[in-house]
Amino acid sequence: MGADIEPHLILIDHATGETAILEGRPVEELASTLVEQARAIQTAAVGIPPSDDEPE
Amino acid sequence: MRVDWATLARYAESSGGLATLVGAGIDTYYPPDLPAPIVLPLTVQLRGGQDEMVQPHQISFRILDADLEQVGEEGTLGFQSEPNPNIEEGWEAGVLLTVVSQFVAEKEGPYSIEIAIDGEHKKTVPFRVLSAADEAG
Repeated sequence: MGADIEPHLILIDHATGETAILEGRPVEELASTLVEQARAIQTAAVGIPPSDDEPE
Repeated sequence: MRVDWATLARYAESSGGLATLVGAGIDTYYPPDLPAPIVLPLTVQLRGGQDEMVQPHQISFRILDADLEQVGEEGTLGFQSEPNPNIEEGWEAGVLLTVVSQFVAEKEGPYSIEIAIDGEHKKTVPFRVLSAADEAG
């Protein structure tokens, strides 16, 4: 209840390790860029290797 | 605290304690050429007791290649959940994080995102990068 409804996300540039938190308008502006980038690269859900994560 | 689930998507964002995911479930990227910049919108569902969740924590993300070598630098950030007065007694608290990782894939093969909380490994999210040119040929 009363939660922040501004869209937000965390950006990590692994070239430098820098992180940035985007909120509100910058997220909306980035959204179209990310979707365009995603569309430019074909993607698929094929399957994953067996997980060795320990059950909690 | 644990990572209940984590999934890649074409696009993801968080708002109001929820996540909006478009094209969730990706595990394979087919860039036209290599090396290629890869963008990984990852949504992470954290779960834990409320007492634990309201403490400050650090979450880190590393990308490993097929040889388990780290690609680029680790990204680390701190977070601290607000206490939720409406949580049901005995229920776990939850936090949804949307993290967009960007890296350059130099070669084809399996990769993974390794998620750690306070230095302890919690989850592996595997994915592959395959050249679209190879797939077409």
